[in-house]
Amino acid sequence: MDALAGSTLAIDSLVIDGHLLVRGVHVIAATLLVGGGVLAWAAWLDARSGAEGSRAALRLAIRYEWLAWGALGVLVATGVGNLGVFGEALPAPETRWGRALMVKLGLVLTLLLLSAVRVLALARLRVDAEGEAGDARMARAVRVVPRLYGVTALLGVGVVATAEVLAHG
Amino acid sequence: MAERVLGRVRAGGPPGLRVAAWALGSMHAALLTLVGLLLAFPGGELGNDLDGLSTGVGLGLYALLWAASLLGTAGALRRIGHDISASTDRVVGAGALWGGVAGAAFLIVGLLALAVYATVEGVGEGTVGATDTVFGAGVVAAGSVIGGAFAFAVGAMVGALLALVDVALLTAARAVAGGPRARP
Repeated sequence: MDALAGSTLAIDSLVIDGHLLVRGVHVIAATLLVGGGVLAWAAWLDARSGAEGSRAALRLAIRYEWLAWGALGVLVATGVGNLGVFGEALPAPETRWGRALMVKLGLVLTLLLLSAVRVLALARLRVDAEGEAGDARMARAVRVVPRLYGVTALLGVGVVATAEVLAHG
Repeated sequence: MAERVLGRVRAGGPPGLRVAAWALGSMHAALLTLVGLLLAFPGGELGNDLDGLSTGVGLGLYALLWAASLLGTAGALRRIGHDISASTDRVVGAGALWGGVAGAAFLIVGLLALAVYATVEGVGEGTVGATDTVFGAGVVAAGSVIGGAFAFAVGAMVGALLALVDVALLTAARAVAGGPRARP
């Protein structure tokens, strides 16, 4: 009976703890962003075998971009929420935690800008893929675009690593 | 509101540009927030600033900024005819105009939401009557006109700056994917 009461209490705290919900959404969004990015990277690497494969990778990458930019927005919104939980107890910028936060924000900013270059390159390819110059453009893309996905995926892993330092370091 | 904004983003341009509008609109909101954090945190006041915001209000404000940003980006892309090779002047002009619209929309919708919240709470507690509601509506209307004009000006400046960032990102994207250069 006590055990039952205990688990009910735990479920109640899960439901009412908005901060836990915000943290949970933050982690899920990060998982989708980084995991999806690695998958799209793998699809582009696989596409080096031919034009048809590269068009399939482009379609998958466009689908990923819809998801990734939604996840990025959710990550920034919930990330600010996570900082807000500290309130006045937010560690000072000169502490180890503060320096780690600055590194994380710098990495996120870099990830944001490089992801924008990546999606704009994809948008160009998507517009041109059907044209006469499509095959030549796709051949160039399979050489360059996988590198952009690789860099942004690794940056995403770096952001997750700094997040772990902030949470438990 | 968000659905309508997303609908506008989805409505215009070739398929590749729909995802670009979604991405750029989302990027602008995230960029403004990140730059704000990077400027506020080293000063040591960020904790105090965030302490005054509840989680719900903070998330609501971000959702509003995101929606305004998507509206502004979709509008600017429509204004340049979805031509991402347009000249820098045209892109910055469209960014300024639609940045202004997005800024005004952000302020007016935010004011309305605040007024509705305060009225509902006040009526529930019995502290707001019919006269207060009429007076409050007048204050919101005046605030929307005066504040909206100010927000338009601020939004136009921010929109022009973000358009310059977009031009730089488009130039980098062209270097990666190839394609025609921007017209001078």
